[in-house]
Amino acid sequence: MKNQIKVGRAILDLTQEDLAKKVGVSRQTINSIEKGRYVPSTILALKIATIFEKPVDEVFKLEEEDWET
Amino acid sequence: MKISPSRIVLLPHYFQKIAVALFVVSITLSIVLKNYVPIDVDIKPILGNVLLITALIFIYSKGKVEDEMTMQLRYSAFLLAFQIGVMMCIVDPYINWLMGDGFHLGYSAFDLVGMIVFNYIGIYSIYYFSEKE
Repeated sequence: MKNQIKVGRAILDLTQEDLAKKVGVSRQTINSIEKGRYVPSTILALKIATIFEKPVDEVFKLEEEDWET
Repeated sequence: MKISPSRIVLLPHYFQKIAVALFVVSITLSIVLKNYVPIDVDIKPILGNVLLITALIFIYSKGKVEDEMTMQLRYSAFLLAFQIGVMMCIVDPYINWLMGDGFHLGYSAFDLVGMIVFNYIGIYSIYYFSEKE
């Protein structure tokens, strides 16, 4: 799953720490999501999308491999 | 039944320090008792019990940072530790048999639980520190 968190942060001029505080997780978690090492829960994905004021599927995009079971 | 990403209720972070202190005290005490106090009691089972309690307190205490990713790491670490425990149970009798010691499990249920618990701590630490940058 690709994500636009880095872009969204840059637009709002937020650091990973700032975003982490706003959504109630650690900076490491934001870093792991940004780098694609951790797939967030629906709740966290919705929180991040809300902060960025974008629909969730604009922030998180499915890739071809995500459809493979 | 509602199935959702749930969180385990954990003890406050300072319990981790209590667990570490208890670990150090119990190890020190067992060394002192074994070497300097002439008693007729086998302290091994008592020490094992205390260490298991210590490990449980440590596991059920919050880390410095606790969120959904660390919870996921907990689940993954526990699953792997459990799988290793089951594999050991399956493989160990064959190893004993090959060594000419008969087809039997070489350790008790207590040893197995202890192994799973301490494996969990090790695996979780590896996961946690590999994610932490």
